[in-house]
Amino acid sequence: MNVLEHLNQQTIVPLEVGGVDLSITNGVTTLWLAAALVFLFFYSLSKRLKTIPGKLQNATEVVIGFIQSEVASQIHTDREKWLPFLITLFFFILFNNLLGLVPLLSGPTTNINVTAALAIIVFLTVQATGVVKHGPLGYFKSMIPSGVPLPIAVFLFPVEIVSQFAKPFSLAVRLFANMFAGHAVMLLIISLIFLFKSYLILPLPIIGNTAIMMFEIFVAFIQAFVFTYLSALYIATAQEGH
Amino acid sequence: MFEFEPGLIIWTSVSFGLLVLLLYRVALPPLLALLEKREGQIAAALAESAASQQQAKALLEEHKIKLAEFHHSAEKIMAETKSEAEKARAEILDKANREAGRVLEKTQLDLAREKERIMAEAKATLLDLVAAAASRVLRRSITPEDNRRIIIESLDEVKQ
Repeated sequence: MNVLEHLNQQTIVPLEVGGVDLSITNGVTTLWLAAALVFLFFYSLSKRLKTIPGKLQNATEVVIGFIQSEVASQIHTDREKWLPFLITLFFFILFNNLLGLVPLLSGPTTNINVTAALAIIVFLTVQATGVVKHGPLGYFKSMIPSGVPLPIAVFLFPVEIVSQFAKPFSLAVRLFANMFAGHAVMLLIISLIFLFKSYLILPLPIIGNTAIMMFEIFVAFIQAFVFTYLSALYIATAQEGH
Repeated sequence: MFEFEPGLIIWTSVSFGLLVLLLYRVALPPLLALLEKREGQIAAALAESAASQQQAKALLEEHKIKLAEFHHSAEKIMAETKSEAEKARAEILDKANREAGRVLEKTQLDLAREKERIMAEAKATLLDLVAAAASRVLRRSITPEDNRRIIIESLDEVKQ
């Protein structure tokens, strides 16, 4: 029995457009649910804003303040314009991570395609920012630190190009691996029940999974923060160059 | 989960793109505006507080200077008052001494006059007694014992 099969996508509505499989899977529905929850959360909050905030507004303001001071602060040009993008990125990843912990829901971030899509969005955003800021040629020039001798620059340029692709790759793999590992461990602990086929083993999966679940909630926040923080850092690097 | 699923990539991109658009257009502006407004209010309050603190410091300095001036004035007034009091005391003392001297002199003068008067009176009384004693001597023969007795009696009367 392969317990990790539970993490595979289950097709709900088969759909194919132009030869591309756009089937609605349980992962896609969770993605939509996460997006809808994030939107509803902020929309309902924006309709009930108070000068003296309630508990929920206060908690949200604390998180947004944290994103402003710890994440967006990496960006030195047009910081305020980037804030909505970073807030959306953080909360979208966070809600996807947390929904993955809800029983019967598929964890979108435990699928490399979802994290890769987010990393590609960040990659394209970073490249577009660099090109807009420095111009196409200027952006490539900005990848080489000024004052570097030509022979070293020739060597550095391909390294820098590779690193541009390594950044989204590391973003995608980091988020996927962290979330997948947590789910895999939880599934493996649950599988002990089936492996031993005894009620005596029951306390171990219950206690173990509860502990790991607590840790996974922490990981969900940390990974959302790390992804957003690194995205802000890459945007700042593209703006400023080397 | 490890297979390449372009559909999931597309749905993720579309979902995220739509969410960014909706939050950017609808949900986040009021919240960010409120945060900005509050940040502005806090900054203004802090600036106001700093200005008030500066003003309070300036007032404190001003009051310290005024207090020092008051202390100085008070010391000056105290010194002047003390000097005037000393002067007044000396004058009063001098006047009192002079008055006492005058009273003493007058008393001494009165005493001298009284003494003279008493002496005059005593002399007159003595003369009267002597005259009385003489008249008694003249009225009868006097033995030496009588003579002595009369003198003694006369002296006793003088003493009285």
